[in-house]
Amino acid sequence: MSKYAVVGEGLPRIDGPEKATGQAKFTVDIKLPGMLYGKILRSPYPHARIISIDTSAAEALPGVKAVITGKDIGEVRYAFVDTPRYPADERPLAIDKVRYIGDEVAAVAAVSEAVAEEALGLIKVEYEVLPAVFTPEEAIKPTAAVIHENSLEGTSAWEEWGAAGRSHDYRAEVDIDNASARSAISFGDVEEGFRQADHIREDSFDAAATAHCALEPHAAVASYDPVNGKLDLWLSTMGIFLKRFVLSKALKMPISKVRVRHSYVGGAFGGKIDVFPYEFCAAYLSMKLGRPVKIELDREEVFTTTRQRHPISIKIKTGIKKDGTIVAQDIKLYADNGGYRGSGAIVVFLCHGFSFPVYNIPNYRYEGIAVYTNNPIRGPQRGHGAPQVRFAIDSQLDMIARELGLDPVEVMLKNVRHKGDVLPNGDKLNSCGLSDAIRGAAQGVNWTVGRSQLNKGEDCAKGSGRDGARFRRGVGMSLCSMFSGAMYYPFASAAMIKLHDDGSATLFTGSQELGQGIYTTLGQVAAEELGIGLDDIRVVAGDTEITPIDLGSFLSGGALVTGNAVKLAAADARRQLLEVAAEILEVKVEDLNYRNKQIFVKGNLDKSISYAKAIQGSVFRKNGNPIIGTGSYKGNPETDRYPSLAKAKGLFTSAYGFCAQAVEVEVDTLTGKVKVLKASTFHDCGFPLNKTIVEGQVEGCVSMGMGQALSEEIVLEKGQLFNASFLNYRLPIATDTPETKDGLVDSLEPNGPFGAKEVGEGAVAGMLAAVANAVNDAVGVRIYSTPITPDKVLSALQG
Amino acid sequence: MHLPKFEYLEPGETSEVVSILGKYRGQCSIIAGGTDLLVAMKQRRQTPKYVISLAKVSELKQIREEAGMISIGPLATLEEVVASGPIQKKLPVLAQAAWEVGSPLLRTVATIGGNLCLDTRCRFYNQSEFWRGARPDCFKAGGVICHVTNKENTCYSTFSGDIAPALIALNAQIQLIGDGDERWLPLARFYTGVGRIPNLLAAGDNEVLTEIKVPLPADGTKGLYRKYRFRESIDFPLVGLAAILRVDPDDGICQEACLVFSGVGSRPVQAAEAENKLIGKRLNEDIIAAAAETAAGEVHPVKTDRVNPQFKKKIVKAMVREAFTELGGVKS
Repeated sequence: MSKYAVVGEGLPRIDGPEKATGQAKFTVDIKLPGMLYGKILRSPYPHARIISIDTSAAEALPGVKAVITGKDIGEVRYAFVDTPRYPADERPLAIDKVRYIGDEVAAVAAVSEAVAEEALGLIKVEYEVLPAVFTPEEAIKPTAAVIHENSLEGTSAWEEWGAAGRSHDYRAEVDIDNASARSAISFGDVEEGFRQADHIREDSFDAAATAHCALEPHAAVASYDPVNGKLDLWLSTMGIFLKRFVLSKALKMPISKVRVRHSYVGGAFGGKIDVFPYEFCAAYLSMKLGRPVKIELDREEVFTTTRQRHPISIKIKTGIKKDGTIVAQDIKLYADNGGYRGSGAIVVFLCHGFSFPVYNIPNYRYEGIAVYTNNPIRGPQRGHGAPQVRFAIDSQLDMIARELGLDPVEVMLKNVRHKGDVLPNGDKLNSCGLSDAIRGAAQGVNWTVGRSQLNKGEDCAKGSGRDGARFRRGVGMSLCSMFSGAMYYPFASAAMIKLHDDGSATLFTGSQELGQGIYTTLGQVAAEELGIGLDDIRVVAGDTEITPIDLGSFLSGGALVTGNAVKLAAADARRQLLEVAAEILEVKVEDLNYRNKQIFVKGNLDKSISYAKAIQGSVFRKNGNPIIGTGSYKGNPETDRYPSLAKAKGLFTSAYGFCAQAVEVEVDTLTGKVKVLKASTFHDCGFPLNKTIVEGQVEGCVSMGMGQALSEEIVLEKGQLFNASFLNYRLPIATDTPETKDGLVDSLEPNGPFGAKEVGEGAVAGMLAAVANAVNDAVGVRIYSTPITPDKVLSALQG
Repeated sequence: MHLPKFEYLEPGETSEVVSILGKYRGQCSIIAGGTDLLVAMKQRRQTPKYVISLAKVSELKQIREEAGMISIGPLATLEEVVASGPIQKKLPVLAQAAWEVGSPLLRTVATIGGNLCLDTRCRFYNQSEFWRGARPDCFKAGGVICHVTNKENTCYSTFSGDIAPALIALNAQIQLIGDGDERWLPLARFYTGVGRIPNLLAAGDNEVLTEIKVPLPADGTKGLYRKYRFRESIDFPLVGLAAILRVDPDDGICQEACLVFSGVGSRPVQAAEAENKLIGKRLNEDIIAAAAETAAGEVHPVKTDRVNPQFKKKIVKAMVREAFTELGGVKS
């Protein structure tokens, strides 16, 4: 039997009944009296100068209440990253130039969406079309059109807040006009490492841009109260406090005058953390008109103008000893962040940060450069950089292992890090279940037997279908790691627990329910610590006015960072409760024990008091203290700085989640089609706070990773997105989903609440290389780019 | 995206439909299930002044077996076609093809007539008004240039219906009723092969599709419909293939063979030369491979979707091999 009463169990979600009955409210469901509807006019050109904008005909259309352009708004800049090194480069509406197809040019508020849409057609914009660049390769040429010409002045948001000191403009380090960010990291002596190697490989890989595909389209409702000067916002968001921070600065309002709420969010996957122009425009229009304004994006806008995963080109050189020990690795990559930086500065850091905890490589050099192009903007997406870079590293390692006649799994086991290891940046692995995860995942696809196909001989490699069976099976594996929260604004999570005089409790948290089940998980943490049931907990969340600050549901900090804050708040409430019980029962606190909302004296079960009575007693005895517990926990308690994005110095996170992904695929050698038959995913999440929710997260990663491995891809030609719909984007559907076998490695992270750490993101990153390796195992061809489409496989097979 | 403004008309009789079409010639669209039309309207590819619903024309919905044939009303939904006993039993190729269209949700509203009238598709044309605004209008959208080929006054948009190949392979006839005039023609002749105006009703003349008749296949006829696509559901065919085979039970000689493709041209494409490689022969692996090779040479796909035309030809070859190996019971 588990030593816990509430955590660990796969208890039903507390938001389940509301969602199952259609009662749950999403941002699109918010309707306010007198509400207007907004629409955004967007650039049809990838790169152009705005000569003039004539809004008069649109303004004259009956039902139109306001039309705004960049000139009305004036000098406003903001961005996901806004530091001295990386000054904000986005504007709510373009002033001088547009930099990608979909860039915001004007916004309309009208009595209905249809009228607003009609008004857009009446705005006349004269453009001077400029030469454009669409790949990093083009963008870094000295002759390339420059996308952001001016250096940006002013104090960055993080500096103003006090979280960042002055630092050098990244442009001093890289002689490329269109570079938007650079991270360069090294440890050991990489040249010496290669000299020690018995075998060296150099390869290039390309990972495609992909879409988040949250079912809920992005939406915002803004309601400005001119009397009190307060702005109410309902947003599709992953972090209400981050949105409040960025939007209040952009709107030039005191942070406390902006109240951000969210009801439920219908999936995010990283795509709802940035601040978007439609949110600013809804707020600005509401402030201008004194009426609520709603802007809801359509699916094409979500695909084109919110965010995508970065397409990344990776050059990788690895040196290895005959016995499989990796001695040196040199990685250079280019990430295409599109027309604005988005999270370009973060992704080139995280391609290192989310990956280097996997293997212990003594001599290592990494350079990541993000570049501007005239493509759509790229931002965080589940795993943020990890899927791309793990695809390269583990594809290549599989090739090397085969060349050396070694089993890739043995090579992985030989090189992975272990509990107790200290990473080059100083982060300590207090828990690490990678080796167990590898063994478990391998067993799940029957690794040794699965690989036997290729072992039978190389003859089945080329031109299959004539001299062998049409359908060939193979297995592959890849590993990944992930932070459990980090030092990112607002840098900490806090929680508050209010006890009620019937012995139940309300948890106040600023965390975000995105479908990942965090309200239930946090409720379980609070209940366990308080000694009550999950039924006794209500969760109040999603309102910057009434909940304490929270990191938000990104960077996978929910379980560890917010979980710890909640656990501390519950412990604080319990301490107060026990103190008053000790007073009433006339014993010492140490003599008390508690279970099922009852406090009793150790060794004397007759002497006891219920929670309800103790809380009532506290109201009488303690100057009316009804017992409110508070707790807080920092993104990383061991540091007061966010890590250097430039050199990856400083501590990153309190704990790393790890995952081993194995798959068995079947390749149709006649058509090139690859089917994932079995996905065996072993995730080290420390301790599952809710087993069912954890499994849901892992399976979500498997399905997303499989789509991105095989069929998903943002298709662009000259900056124009050809598949901005669910019909053409080809997200896998239920019938495409493989048999899954999930395993959890309980490594019990000492920094985590009840041993818990990350689970929601890491597992997505292993699928790309696992599938590529399995395809190679099945038919002997290597695919160097994602997605691994039938076209590519068939071309490779037919040489 | 909202629908453009239009007037909605709901006549009760076929004759009324025809007279409205005549009265507002060139300004009407007929709506049955609407799964193709409404998207076209939202994207402003079609902006009819009048939308004529067939919902009240009950005579167009029936599926019935007559002497030697099955008659299908164009308003029968694809789900009704799939579920129909006579079709499942006597025209399994058609039931299979209908089953492969879209998804269950779409099939409960989409009609068989609508699927036959499905507009041709192209990655440059099936886009929103905003999207298309980034370039000059293509020829199909009323402009001059074809963005796929950069040629003028031509359109290579691709026919990607699933039903037409099956019905053509089954020698279906259709009835068109116009102003005081009705005609029957083989379904194959309904398609023009012209990307801009892909079928006889696409120009907006005053005719309406009223009935589909399928002769019952001779005893011993086998057939199948195969759809190559990336996902197991929802997608249009990258390549669709309806294949029919009849072999003399005594001498094993192929009496009849038919191959009709979707997704490889501006109309359903029948591979007549490949059929000739099969007819009169006793099927074996080599004969089928030769027919497959020939079929791949008879289709001329153009890059109107994400897939490379050379890849489509390979798929055509693979599908023909697979289909006739299965239909002919040939050991591979």
